[in-house]
Amino acid sequence: MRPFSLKRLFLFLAILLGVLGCGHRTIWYKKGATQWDFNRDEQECIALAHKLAREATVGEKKENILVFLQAYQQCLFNKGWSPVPPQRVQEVIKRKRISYHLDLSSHVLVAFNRQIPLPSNIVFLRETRRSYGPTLIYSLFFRGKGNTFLNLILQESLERAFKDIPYPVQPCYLIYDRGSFRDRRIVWASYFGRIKGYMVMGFGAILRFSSRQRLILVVTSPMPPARGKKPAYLHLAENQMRAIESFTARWSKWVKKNLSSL
Amino acid sequence: MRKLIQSRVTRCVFILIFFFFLPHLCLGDSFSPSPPLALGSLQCYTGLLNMPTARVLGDWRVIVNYGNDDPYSYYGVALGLFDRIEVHGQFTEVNTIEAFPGQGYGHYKDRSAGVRVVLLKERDWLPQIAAGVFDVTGTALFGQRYVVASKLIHNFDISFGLGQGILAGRFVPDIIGNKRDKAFAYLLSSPRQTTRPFGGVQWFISPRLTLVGEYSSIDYKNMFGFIHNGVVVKEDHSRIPFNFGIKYKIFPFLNAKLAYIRGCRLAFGVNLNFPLEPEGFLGWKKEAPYVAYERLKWKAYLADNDKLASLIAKEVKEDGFKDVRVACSDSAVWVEAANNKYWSSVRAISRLCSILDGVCPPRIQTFYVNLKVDSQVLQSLKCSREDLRAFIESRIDKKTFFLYNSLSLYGDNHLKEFLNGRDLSRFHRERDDWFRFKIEPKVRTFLNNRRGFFKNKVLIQTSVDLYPLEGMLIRGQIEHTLYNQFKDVAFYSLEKEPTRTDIVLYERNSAPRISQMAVDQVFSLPWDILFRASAGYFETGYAGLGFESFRYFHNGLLGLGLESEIVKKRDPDDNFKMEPHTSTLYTAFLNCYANVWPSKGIEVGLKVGRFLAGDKGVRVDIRRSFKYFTIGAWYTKTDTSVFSSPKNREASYKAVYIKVPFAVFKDKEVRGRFTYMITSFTRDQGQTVEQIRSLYPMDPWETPYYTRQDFEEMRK
Repeated sequence: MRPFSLKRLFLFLAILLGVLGCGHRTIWYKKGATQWDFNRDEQECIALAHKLAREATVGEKKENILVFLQAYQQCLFNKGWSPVPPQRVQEVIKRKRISYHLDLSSHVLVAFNRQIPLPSNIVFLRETRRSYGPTLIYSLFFRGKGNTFLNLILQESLERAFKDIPYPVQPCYLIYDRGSFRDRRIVWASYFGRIKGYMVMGFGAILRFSSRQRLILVVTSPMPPARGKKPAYLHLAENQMRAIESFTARWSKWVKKNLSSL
Repeated sequence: MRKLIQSRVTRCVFILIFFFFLPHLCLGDSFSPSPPLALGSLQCYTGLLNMPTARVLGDWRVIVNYGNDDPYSYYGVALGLFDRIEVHGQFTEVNTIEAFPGQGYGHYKDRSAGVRVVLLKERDWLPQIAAGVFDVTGTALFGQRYVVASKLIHNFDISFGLGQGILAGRFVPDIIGNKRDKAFAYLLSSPRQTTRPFGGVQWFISPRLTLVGEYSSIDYKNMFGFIHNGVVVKEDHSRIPFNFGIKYKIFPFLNAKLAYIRGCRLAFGVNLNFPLEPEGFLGWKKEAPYVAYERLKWKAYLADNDKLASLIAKEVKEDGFKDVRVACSDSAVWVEAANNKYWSSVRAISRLCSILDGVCPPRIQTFYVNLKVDSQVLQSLKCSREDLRAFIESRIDKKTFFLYNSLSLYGDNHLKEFLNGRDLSRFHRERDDWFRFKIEPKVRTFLNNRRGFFKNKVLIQTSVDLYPLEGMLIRGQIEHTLYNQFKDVAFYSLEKEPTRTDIVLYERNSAPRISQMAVDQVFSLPWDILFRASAGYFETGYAGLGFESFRYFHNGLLGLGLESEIVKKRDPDDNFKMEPHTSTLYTAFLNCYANVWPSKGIEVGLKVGRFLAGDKGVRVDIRRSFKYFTIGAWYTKTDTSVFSSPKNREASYKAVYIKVPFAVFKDKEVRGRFTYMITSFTRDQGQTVEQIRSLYPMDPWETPYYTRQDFEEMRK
């Protein structure tokens, strides 16, 4: 017979305190910002994340916790906050650079310890380097035949893993087709749109080397003007469709052949 | 001296904790809960601490409770229905009494169930009034009846009630005498008996914190656990008839309670309080809207009917639907698919319509969208493309939409119309994966045996499903035991040829066991009757043949079917042998289904006929299928004159069960549910044979009634 279960009560209280006590708070940094700035930005981000988390669910009544956390973090990132002290980011970015070597004679770009083949008949135009938060972005611009432009972007994140997303197509374009190779290690899209009165078609692909290193390929080319009448529910005339079809087939084949083995 | 120290320790702990919460008390905003929350008590039902109130849980809300009030430990569940009813059940462990001394069972455990019904809802000046009973079947050790009124005044919920049974300080078995089902006899006994008042106050200090005080009418000197067979087993040290406590909401779904009982002891408890919502803790992520890209549209535009059907079939399959079949005419498209993506049929139809509207060229103006269950079209929507767009864009309402378009149970009439179209293509069928493999851990429990309350068998179940032909399923299932306590269970066959009481013979063995190895074929018969035939090892104990047919009527609100199994016993020790000296058994049933209150999801099922042991009778199954959860109970009454054992002769097999959608634990909508069932003691009466698939009962959400009800969801 047990006169009084004090042992059970203390166990219950210990578990209760344990549950209440667990938790971890991230410290966010921004150069030159104060606690007051953080409170204001955080309030805005929390409100936005709540809204997005609700809108992301089927009934729009519950909140998806994962979406909330992602949106909250992304919002703070977008406002310039980082969980890493700014000095450290700057130091890392200063010290860290993407080392690459461009060998136009043999049509090879050496980066991320890999030999990336380049298309033939292209001319190197210029290079830009920038960073977005903890991500280093190097862009290499080339020009091909017939006003075709090629952009190779090397990206390396020093802090966060890249998300597995489909190739992002800007809203000013319409998607012609999408696809992927090698278990979505390469995702691609071909698209078209009217830019400054001219029809343009494009092909883009993202190749993930690792969770923090990736290569983005963007090819754009002019599209011929429409000949004949467009069918009612379609956006392209038949000759334009034929043009983008062969453009897509050519580049997706090239990506599959040259990049999927990397 | 020891008691004095304990008493002081108890008081000190209580006072310390009270002051720990005091800051909350002072900081608590003045708020008035509206409507007042039915908070968990120490026991499974909602109430004060040990006394009930007139509050009930909200509709389809559940409390899972643990409470400890020496000498009692309470493990229970309560469910709210229609904002009017609360049903609750619990195991009460009594630590002062050994149930089967020397057999390892441990403390005495009593099962109790009860119900509380709101007779009058709270209005401006009227209190809420409810009546309730507890421990209504079996031993009635904790039997009680009561009427109680609760009124919210500012932040104080004041309750006053009149109780009988233990609430009047009585021990019910003493009142009822030597009857078999004491609790039920007490339930129907005269109301003219000892009645005592009880009551209390809940003070809602903040949304998280509530203080409780109650006058307890229980007389512990007469309670089971304090006295047993006329012998005092625990002294009652009650000094005052009052209990005080704190209820604190740690998280929105987790509550803790601490109470000081009768001025002499501490009690505590914790409960989970949550609504039964399929979109569980994470919320389901929205699916990206379907977009047909220009390339696919061009392909569809240039395609002939045959190629178009093939394109659509591929697209529907790639979107995640199963069992896809598509055909096209010059102006219409016919799509059949099994909805294995969404709980809601409307969302499945909506997705299929988006695919069709995105891909089909303008010449296709009529869509026939069909949802299949077990390879049979169960509901068929015929709609014009223009009307569909008009409805989705809110240019026409649901009523107008259904004036010109039709949603029907089964698809025969629509198919005839479609087949009259010009230049028909052949039906393109997209082949699904023909092989599925599953490994899952299982825990089988034998509850309340004299050798122990929980006896478990832990095993790994490996299943291989093959789908070689349309409507065919071949399943092989093998179980590898990891841990087995069934060999300790004291449970013996009650008949010479038992149907189920020899279950331990099959479960005690820890060698690998082929639990299922059967082929099952489903096909449609004329007049939309679905037929199923199966053969093989259906379960660990039986092998044989099975047949079943079923048909829905009246938009799926009614259904009728026939079912029969012819089986023989399997050898418990050899996977491939049959028991040589057993008879061939058979069952024969008429299955009836009615969705009697569709808006609340109340369904009734009847299984009438011959059960496995040859006992003829009926199984009544009443359940509520709501928000993709199902909670139900069935009761089997048969002619038991075929049995020789008195235990079988007196038996009426019954069970309560819950089906929980997997999607509760996921962040996206997925199909599938797991079932947890608690049955009465295993007997040979009212037994059936498990089948690898069954046509009855089905999920009610697959029927046109619900699709029509929820059709507005097409716009989301």
